[in-house]
Amino acid sequence: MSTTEHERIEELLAVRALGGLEPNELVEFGRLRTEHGLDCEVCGPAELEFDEIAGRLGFALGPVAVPDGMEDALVARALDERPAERAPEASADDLALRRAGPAERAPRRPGRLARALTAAAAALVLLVGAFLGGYAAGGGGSNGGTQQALAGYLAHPDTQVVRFTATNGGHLAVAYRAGRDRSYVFGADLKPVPAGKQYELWLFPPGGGKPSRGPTFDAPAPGTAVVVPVPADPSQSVLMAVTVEKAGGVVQPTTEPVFTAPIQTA
Amino acid sequence: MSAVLDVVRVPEVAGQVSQTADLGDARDRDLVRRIGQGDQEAFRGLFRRYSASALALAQRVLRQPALAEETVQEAFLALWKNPNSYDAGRGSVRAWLMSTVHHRAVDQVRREEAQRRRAEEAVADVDVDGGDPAETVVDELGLPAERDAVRRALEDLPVEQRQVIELMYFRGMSQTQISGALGLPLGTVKSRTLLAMRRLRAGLGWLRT
Repeated sequence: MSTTEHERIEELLAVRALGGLEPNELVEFGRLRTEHGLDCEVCGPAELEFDEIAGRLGFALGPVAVPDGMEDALVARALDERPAERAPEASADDLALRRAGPAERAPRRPGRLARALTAAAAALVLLVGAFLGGYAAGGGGSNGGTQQALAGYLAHPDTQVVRFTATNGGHLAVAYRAGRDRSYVFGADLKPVPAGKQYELWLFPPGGGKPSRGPTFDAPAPGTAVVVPVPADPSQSVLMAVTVEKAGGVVQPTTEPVFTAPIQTA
Repeated sequence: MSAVLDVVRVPEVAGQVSQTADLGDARDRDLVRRIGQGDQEAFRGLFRRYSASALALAQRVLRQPALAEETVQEAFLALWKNPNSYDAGRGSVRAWLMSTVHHRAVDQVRREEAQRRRAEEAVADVDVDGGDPAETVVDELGLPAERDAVRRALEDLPVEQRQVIELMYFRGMSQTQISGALGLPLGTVKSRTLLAMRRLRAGLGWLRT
């Protein structure tokens, strides 16, 4: 490993720790870091130290008076948004989805959902709407519970749908509710990936930092759609991206994203 | 500040700060553990301990008090909703919490159309903040000593390196924006940032618990 390469990574680690990388630069940084080696004995400690120092730089500022009532307002919000682990909402849609199957990966074969999704693949928001229309028109079938659950999720007034920008064709969108640790990615007309490869989803935190790994998924068969549950709250991210990686996924993106979606954080 | 003075001064400060930092971090980790159990009082405790500093940082980056308050609330709420997002193996609670606030503030500021105007103002106004108007009203075990140490470390940086830290960290500008605002090649911004962080790392590395 050359000193120049260490320095190049170290430069980016320093800038990243201070929040100086743009979202698109974060993707490139992730790729460089992976190529360089995530277990680098020089860069790994530098990353931890830089992150710690960046956090503590904030203490250089004198504290300011906290407005009266801010603490109580925060606690009230916290009690209103209890995490699922401690106060499961056990909504019908989530329960139905949990029963949907071990892979929790919605229909790979043509069904009402897939047909409805694919029918509107030209625009993913419309695609999702078409799914709802398809469900409303009939429902039932082996995936009826899943469809009903997704319909409930998508119809909820707090659900937001963001379409990904594709660089190589295909349609992808994410549906999420801020504060909920489960969201759904809908895809159709995705290009098949080479043997031994899969699509992998990434969530980039605000201001910089390593992307969180999302699930991997395959391109659906022609004429079908895929719905991938994501155990994360996208509203806590600034960007979602999808790369093509080796099957089973990798710890950092190693290729250029084929889908990107800026997220309006909470 | 000469290298000789650095060698004499740092160990003295380090002894004072590291003891309180150890105590403070142990307390913080216990608070986070209890927050994971849904302990409302622990949540209030962590907020009381760091909200004044977190708000100062958010206000500095955002320059909008209401938006800063919302940003700080969201950062604490994120911890409440997902206490496991803090990884003890990667550093102290306080650095992680302040980084969370900082990242959110930077994310907000990047969205604003007034970025260009803010950048122009920032270039003409680079300094490290002075007064502590509310120091006596916050519950901050060890933080005043840490604050002094961080300030001294910043003041010891060469002016051109401190300027980059100020613009990037305290004003939320990206390396590309700084390059444009200062008329410097991007590579120069990167190298100054790295040199500054290396120097801070050497001076503040002992703060790591």
